[in-house]
Amino acid sequence: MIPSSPVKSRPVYLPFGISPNVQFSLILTDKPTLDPSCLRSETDPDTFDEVWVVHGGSTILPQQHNGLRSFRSVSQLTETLAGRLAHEQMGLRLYAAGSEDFIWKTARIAEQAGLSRDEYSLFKLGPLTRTVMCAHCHTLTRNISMTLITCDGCGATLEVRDHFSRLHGAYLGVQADAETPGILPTVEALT
Amino acid sequence: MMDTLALRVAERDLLSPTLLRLRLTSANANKLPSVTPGSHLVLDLPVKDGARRNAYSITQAGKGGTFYEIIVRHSPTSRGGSAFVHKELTVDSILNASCPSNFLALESTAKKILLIGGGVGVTPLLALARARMERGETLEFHQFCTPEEKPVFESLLAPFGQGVACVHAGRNALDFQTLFRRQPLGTYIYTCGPNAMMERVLTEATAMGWPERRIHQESFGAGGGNPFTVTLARTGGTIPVAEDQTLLDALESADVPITSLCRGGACGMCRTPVLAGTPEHRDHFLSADEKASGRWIMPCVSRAHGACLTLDL
Repeated sequence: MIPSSPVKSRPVYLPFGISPNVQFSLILTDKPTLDPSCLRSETDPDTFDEVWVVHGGSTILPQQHNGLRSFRSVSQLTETLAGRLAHEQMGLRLYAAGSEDFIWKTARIAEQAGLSRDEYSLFKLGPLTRTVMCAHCHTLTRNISMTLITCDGCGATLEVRDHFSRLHGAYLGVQADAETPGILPTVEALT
Repeated sequence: MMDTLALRVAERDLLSPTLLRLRLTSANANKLPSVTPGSHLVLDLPVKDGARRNAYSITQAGKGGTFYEIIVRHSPTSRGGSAFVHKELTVDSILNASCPSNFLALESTAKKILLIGGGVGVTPLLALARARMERGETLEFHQFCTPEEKPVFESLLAPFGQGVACVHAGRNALDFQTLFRRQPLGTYIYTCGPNAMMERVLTEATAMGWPERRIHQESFGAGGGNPFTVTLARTGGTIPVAEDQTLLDALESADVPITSLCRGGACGMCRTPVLAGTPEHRDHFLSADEKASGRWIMPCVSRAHGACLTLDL
């Protein structure tokens, strides 16, 4: 289900789909509970040439087994991805499935490697939580599910907007009582 | 209407029996407008049976607006324009041209550009390649030609160096699949030449996972076709369109006022409503739905299925 918003910057994620006729496909996910084989079985067992999963945990080594590769953290995966894309050829398709934060991090790496919007696809998985960037101190506050939050950085009460930054993978948070100090809007669940 | 430029032929250099390079300067000692690589110029050519307006890519522009250089192929199926350039233009000839425009601009984010030219389609690619080379950016240039013309094209591509530019005699001298497979991420293709060649580039690259938007092509009119007559609904009168003439040339020769720019079916300036008859679409501008509706035509490249066409002019 795609919530509608009058704000154009809010991303609209399409249902999971894959492009035919590509030379190489790589899917990345930060949801270890998401069994990669279930992604594969959506179409064909050999749909993806490689599946990279952030499992988390200090004992994970980035070893590859039958096209499946595990990572101990998001940053380990993204650093490996940047190095890998620098040596890849045209005809590659990148898929990222997971939290909004994660998929937009991989999108930035893809763009820096020269991939265009036609060559990578993003799919948001998991709860409807947001990462919020404070307009005042630029701190990111994660896992937000309500429209009013306290900024992790400066402690301001922020109203969470639908305005989304693709650069930061975060929604804008603005001092909630900026217009009339002391008067706060009602708190609602984010959709 | 577009601003016109008065140009003087400063140099005339026959590269081969059918390829003529012209260096054009301003006829009134003004600075020429600056151009971006991939631009073309539309020359007004006063041929015997009326005026011809032909588009030619600017292969090189002088720094500070000092000159434009073009290369003109004299083809046996010429509509009269290129024959005029080859036979009538001499050093110090004066002619009018429209201000240059560009429908093949460089992608600023390209990590690499792969240029694929066929015959005189080399012309816009020369400007693109030169710009990339001057900025120290990666490029690879493949040019197809007949065996007889190989030396000419080799000398045109010599500035880019071996390993970057390569001339192939014959259309099967290069395997596109191998070529496309080894291109790094972020590569854009620029192709100009016969339609069949550009179609092959597009088909083979997209089949290998290249997005269509990574492939830029430019064609300047796809030759002639069957003759037909065009009826002007508003002003009255019928105009014959000869088999070696474009509909736009025919309308202009009959002094029908019509706005045009690229003369290659790309820019959309000459889009004209059709009231009767079936257009044979050859442009890259109209969408598939618009083409199917038959309500519009791009007279610079498109023709008619059947003997007549009625336009809202």
